[in-house]
Amino acid sequence: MTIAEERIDRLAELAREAAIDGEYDRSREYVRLARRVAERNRCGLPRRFKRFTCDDCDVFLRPGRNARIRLQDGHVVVRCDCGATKRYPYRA
Amino acid sequence: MALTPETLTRHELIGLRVRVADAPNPDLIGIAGRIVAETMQTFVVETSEGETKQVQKRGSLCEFRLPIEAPGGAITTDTDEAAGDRKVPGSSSELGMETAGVRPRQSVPSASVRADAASPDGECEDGVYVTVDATTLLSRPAERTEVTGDSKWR
Ligand SMILES: [Zn+2]
Repeated sequence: MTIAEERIDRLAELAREAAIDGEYDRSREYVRLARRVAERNRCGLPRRFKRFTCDDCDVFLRPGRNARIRLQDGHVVVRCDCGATKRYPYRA
Repeated sequence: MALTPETLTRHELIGLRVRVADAPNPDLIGIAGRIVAETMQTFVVETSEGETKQVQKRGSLCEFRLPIEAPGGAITTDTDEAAGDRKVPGSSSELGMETAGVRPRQSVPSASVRADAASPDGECEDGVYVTVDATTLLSRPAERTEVTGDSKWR
């Protein structure tokens, strides 16, 4: 576990807490910083981080609060409140 | 690479509890709270009243409280190389920090470390308190981690 990976984990947790408190802009800052740390250190982001952040507005997604999640044929559709849609596959 | 006094200058500072022990602007001294944002030259500290204060790093002295991660003295025992300026628990932070030869991105902080008196058994409000010359933290938040690798070949 490098420092960069630890920072990303801590920032993801901070972003989640900020989103819970309704501080969406603060949550965006943390997500952006985590992404920047990942690219500078070339370590990638955890899958959970990718799936629970919005690619368009960078907010941390909380299903039912600021994101709608629907299952379709073979894929999950996540729509952020900003309107951006993310899809990822699943196996039944 | 857990968050220890040695890795503090390269680790994430957002979310840590901090107290400003000394600052060029006297109004900033004594601000305590949680860091909610960081820029290259400043911290934004949210105090317990919910206000946010922006504190400059240059020239100020910050006392961070690090959460204890491993029970036992794993964190506090590695800090003995800083034993030269180890503080007596409870003393206030008026030590002149030795900042000699500080490269701004030095990987080991010139920090004096004191373990809180009650720390050995992990009680509620304690943690490891580290006083850092915040001038050593002047760096872009996203680029701080990568500077010097952990490679033993350096
Ligand atoms: Zn969005």
